[in-house]
Amino acid sequence: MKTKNPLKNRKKMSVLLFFAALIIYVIFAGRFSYIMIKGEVNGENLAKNVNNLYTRSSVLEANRGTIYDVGGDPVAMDATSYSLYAVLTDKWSSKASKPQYVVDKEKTAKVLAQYIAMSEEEILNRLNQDQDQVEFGTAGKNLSYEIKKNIENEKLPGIEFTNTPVRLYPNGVFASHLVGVAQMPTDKNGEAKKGTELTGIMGIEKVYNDLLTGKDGGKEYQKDSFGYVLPNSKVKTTEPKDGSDIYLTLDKRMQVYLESVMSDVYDKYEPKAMTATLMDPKTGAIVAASQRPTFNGTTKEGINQLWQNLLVENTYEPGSTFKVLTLAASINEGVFNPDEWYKSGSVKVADRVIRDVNRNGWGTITYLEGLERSSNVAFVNLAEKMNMDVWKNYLDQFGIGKSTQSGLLNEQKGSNTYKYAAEKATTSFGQGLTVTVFQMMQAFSAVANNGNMMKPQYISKTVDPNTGEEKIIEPEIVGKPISEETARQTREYLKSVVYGEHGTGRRYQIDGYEIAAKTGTAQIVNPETKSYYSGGNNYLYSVVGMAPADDPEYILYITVQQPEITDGSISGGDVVAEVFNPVMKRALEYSHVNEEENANENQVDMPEVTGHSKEDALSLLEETPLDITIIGNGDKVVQQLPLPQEKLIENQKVVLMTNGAMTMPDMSGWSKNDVLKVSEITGIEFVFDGEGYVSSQSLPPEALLSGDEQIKIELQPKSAED
Amino acid sequence: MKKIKYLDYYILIPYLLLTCIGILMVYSASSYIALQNFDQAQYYFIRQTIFSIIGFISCFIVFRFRYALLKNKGIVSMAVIGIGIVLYLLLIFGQEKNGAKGWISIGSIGIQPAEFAKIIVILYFSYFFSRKQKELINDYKRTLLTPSILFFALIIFPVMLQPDVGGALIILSIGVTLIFTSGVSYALGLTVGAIGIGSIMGLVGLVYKFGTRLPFLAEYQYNRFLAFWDPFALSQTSGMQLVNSYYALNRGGLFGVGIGGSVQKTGYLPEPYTDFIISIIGEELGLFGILIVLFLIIFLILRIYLIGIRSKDTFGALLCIGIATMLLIQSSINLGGVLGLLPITGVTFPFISYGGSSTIVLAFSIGLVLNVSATDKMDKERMVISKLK
Repeated sequence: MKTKNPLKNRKKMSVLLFFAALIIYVIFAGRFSYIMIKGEVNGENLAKNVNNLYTRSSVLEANRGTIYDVGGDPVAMDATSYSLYAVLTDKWSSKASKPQYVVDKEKTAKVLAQYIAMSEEEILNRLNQDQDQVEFGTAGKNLSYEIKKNIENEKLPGIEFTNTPVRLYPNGVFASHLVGVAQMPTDKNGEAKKGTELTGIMGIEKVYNDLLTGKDGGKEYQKDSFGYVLPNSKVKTTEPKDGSDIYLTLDKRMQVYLESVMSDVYDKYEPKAMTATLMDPKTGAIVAASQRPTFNGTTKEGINQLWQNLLVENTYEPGSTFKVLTLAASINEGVFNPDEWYKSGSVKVADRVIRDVNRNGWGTITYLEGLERSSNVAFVNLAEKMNMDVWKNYLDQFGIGKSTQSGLLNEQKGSNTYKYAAEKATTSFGQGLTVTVFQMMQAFSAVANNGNMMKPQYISKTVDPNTGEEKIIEPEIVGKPISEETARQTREYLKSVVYGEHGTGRRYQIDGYEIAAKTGTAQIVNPETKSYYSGGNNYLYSVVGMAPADDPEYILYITVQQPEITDGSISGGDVVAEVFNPVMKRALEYSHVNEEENANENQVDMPEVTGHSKEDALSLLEETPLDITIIGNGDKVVQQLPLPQEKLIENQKVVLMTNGAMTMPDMSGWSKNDVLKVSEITGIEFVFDGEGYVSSQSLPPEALLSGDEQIKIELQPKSAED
Repeated sequence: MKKIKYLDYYILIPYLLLTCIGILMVYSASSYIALQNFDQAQYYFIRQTIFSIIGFISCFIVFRFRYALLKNKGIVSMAVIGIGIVLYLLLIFGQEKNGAKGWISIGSIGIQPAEFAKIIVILYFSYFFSRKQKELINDYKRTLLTPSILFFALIIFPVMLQPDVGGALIILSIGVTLIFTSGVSYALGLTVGAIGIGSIMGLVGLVYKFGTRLPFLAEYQYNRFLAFWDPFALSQTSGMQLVNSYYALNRGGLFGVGIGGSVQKTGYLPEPYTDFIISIIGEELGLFGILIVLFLIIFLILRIYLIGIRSKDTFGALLCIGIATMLLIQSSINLGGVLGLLPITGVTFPFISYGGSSTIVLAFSIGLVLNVSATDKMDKERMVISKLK
């Protein structure tokens, strides 16, 4: 049926539309109500999603605890390094009035060239690359805060920084294997992983990682889509907790000196390995400890030569220095009579003949002379007099074959199988068993500390910076293997090693102090043939010395493995003495200085001069006994080393950097450490040749430091005796 | 007889209320972004206020004159050919925004000719059909041929080319609805309507099944469908608008977070003062506010249909039906998008969303409706008086 009336047709259609509109809007109203009241669409909880969308949290990073030396000088500390990059594209700039990309490339290159070690042309080259953003290689990395601030003050659009936490070891080589290393975990490409923190990977940094690592705090707030905090939203903040600080027992003055002496000797004789450990026997505190090979904590230079901490991770046959313990045990047992005679040269134990160094012996001599000459026969006799089971008991009492529980990684306990008669006999002169340096130090402490054996300790206290709570590590007596009188007598007899007519340790005499010592020249097992090396310099040369002999303040124990000696007039013992004598002397002098002056009158606090004009800085430093070097020809100091508040000693080098072009200072006579200060402050790397003090520099004084060319520094030792 | 006495307040009051809500909500929804982009929170507020005043004045002017004057071949031809030329010129000189060349800039004012095309289509069809009532009954095919060709060639085609598929669909729907309310057999209207709805559903089915393998479907268009089916899976890309529209509505709850309190407008929800202003109203004023807006607009639409149904004058009636349909389709596509019932097409909400062209065209349309309503009443009164006499 067709309606022929257009009006009616129109009305019918319109009425249809009228009701369709009504129905559609009822559906809309229903849908609105559903979404707005039920809060769930497609199975998603809208309210929860919204909360996730708005809530932004940021991490408030906790600082890693600082490691200090015993006097509070930083050994390992947190720092931030900045890396420079330039944004070249304009696609991230939302407003024309605030460009966030490099607008004026020529000007940017010119300004940047004043601050980073890269030429204006090279910077311009990089800025002209067809990339969204560019970096500036090593010249743009590891920038200090001062440099970053200065560049920022130039207000160059598009010049940005990323920052990475770094662990700084301001002293460079400084008991590096003991202190260890902390670094950012890196991914395959060597880039720092995001969301991670500095983590100890070696030494104290690793063992005490949990203590040193703080607890990150956080901020939680509601933000708009641009990341700004919304008005009226509450910010939830959890304060970060910084990690605890660790105060070592190491004394920076002694440690730095020991490291430089070790470096000199290591470079001169190129031994396979060396250790030197200086301990206060009254407390067991390690005052200085060093090993070679070592590495620079900040630059990691040399770290891959050896990851082993030779103080606890390496076991070896100690050789004749071990006779100190045999002597002490036999005195304690009352079987040592210095004036008793015996036949030197060889002694038969079970089916084996044990010989002295001099295979023919020195005839019939007294036991005291046997001690002086380090006669193996004398000590085998003494052990037999004690009875081998009694001697074994002493070995156990001295902690041989037992870990010192230092807590350091991979600490070895050595071995003392003590099975066969010949093997038992050889232990009396330090063969047939293996030990660690820490075990030796611990055992020696009984002799030096009147019978009380002290656990070697490297931490004096830890401080929680959040509460100020200090945890002091008290000295720990771990045994009393010998009596006080025995200890005193042992040291008395050990003096004859140094001062006796036939003493093997005569070269260890130090003017003004009485030294009790025992030398050692131990055979080394060839790891390939499993038998002892024969001849040459294939020995472990060592010495243990205690001074002053009547009431020792220090034990110094040195081992030098397989030095390359070409000069026939020099013996292995001479090499050891090149470390022992200056270090022991310096240690004894320091302790006297401390006693006499109590306060360190020749120490000064480094003032803050950064930000001052050059003239002001110089007048601030005028009164101090410091040696000032200025780099750059500007009129304002922008960086300084050492940092403010550091304690400095007389004539210590202070490097100030001014604005303006950097210039090369005259470095002749400088120590390597001082040259490295310049490296740290300018970011320019130096290549060293030799050890000791600067004898020549490839870039003449006052020449411009561009960072383009390598600067070679030649070092020479000043003299063997400092 | 004073025409103003016959002013239809059932039209005027919802219109004014919606316009005021629009100004207020444009201010609230745009201030954050305006501050970001122009350092001036009132940027859009001031402009929308000016547009609304211009709109109100043009509404009044349109109300005053005799609308029958529009039933003039010269005026209608000029309007249709004029808009056709403008739409084609747009393809060459138009300014691109959101991927479509739909804008002409005169100074700092952007004009969107497609908005004007809507009312011109209504005017043209109303004029044409009101004059061809008899022919429509006798031979609708021949009668409809010319206007259909002109309609497609001059308006739908160039708008499609911009490309503004959403805009073209709205104009097409208005045109088709007008054709079937013109007086042709309503059975035909129902049949075509059913076929239309059926084919749209079939098309959606094809899209669902074949996706971009369909030759006519561009990647970005398909993404809109995907975002419509599962917005949360694409909440970072094409589903972002819908997801954030849901979030805004959900935050509003029954009574809203209070005016000015929207967080979604701070960059989470794009176009908070145009396409998604309804979501922001939901967030700030709650379901309560939404229902008021829905009530006002549907009241207005139904009232305009009613005037169209009652009017004795075919031209006036068709104008009203066309305008009501335009409001119905545009608001439905907008709400459908906001609610996840239809794919998002970038259509603004009448009277409330920010936009100069749209505000002025709508005001002009309301002026026409008020004029038709008043004229109709006056005519009826005259008839009563003349009968009494």
